[in-house]
Amino acid sequence: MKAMDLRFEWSPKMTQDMMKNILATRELALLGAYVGIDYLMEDVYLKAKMSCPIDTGALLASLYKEIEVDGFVANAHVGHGGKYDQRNPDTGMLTDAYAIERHEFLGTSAKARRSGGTSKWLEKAFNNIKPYGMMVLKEHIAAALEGKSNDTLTGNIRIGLRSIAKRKIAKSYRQPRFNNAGKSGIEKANAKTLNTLKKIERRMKDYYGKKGR
Amino acid sequence: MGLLQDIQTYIIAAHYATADGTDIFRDYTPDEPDNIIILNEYDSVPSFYRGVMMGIRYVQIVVRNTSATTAKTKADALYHLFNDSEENILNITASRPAVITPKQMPFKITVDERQRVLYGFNLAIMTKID
Repeated sequence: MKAMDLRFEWSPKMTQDMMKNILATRELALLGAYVGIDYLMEDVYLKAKMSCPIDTGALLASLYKEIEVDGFVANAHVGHGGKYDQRNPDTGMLTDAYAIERHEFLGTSAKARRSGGTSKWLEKAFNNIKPYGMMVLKEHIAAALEGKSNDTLTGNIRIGLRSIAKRKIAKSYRQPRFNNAGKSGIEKANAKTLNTLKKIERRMKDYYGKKGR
Repeated sequence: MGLLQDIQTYIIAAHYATADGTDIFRDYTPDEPDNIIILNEYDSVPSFYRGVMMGIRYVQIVVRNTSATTAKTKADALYHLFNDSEENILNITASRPAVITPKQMPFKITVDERQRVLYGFNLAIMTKID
């Protein structure tokens, strides 16, 4: 009777494969987190837009949203002014100069209240996503890792990526109306974000292409 | 008592104000007198878990004064009153333990039409629901 031999050998190729899988998982997790953050940013932006006080409309026009991707870090911004600064037609002031005052002063004017505006509109919009923000991120990361073709979230990720890419392309042509300072910096930042998005989209296509989806 | 009442009691006990409706007000900003402290609860986030009777409540503390320096000094003092404790949990009153996190240092909010200066700061307070 022949004894059964069990042999296990860890080859360098297995280490390479394992590393590849770990890196691919990290890419997918980042992709899921990125789309999740974009979803939350959109939520904050829309809620802030709905309750931003409107007097002349300059403040509302200066509201912006942006995602910066730098390596494995994605930062979402929703705010006023900066490169999207607007000039108030009544007072001649730039929105940067009075946005904090309007946001923090709890006595919103009657005219602004009539338009549905309130104070603290940005902070309230941000507080609003706190109870479910982490869950949204987890769901998007899980969906990206599972990569199920019939998964709605994964579908959302693809659609989300396309819309983000389109938006970023559109944004790269958008110029601030009044403040042109740092123009080259904006163009550079947009190009960088666009490149990162293209890379992510390419990886996504590669991944799903190999899996036959 | 409600959260704002408890905070008001704490501020009065620390001798930064004398009495409710005299120089410290809750959810109301009167035209007179000039030099006052205003407390406002402007937002809250309930606990994500069902049955937990706690949440994060957001309070703005504002100091209004005819002198910008006094407004700033007093706002700084109030900021330290809520932020200097070495303990994580601050007992605002005996029945009101809370974890208080200032959201920023005191800053100038505005100057009103009567040239009174408003300095203030915001607190995120994790405490029980009233």
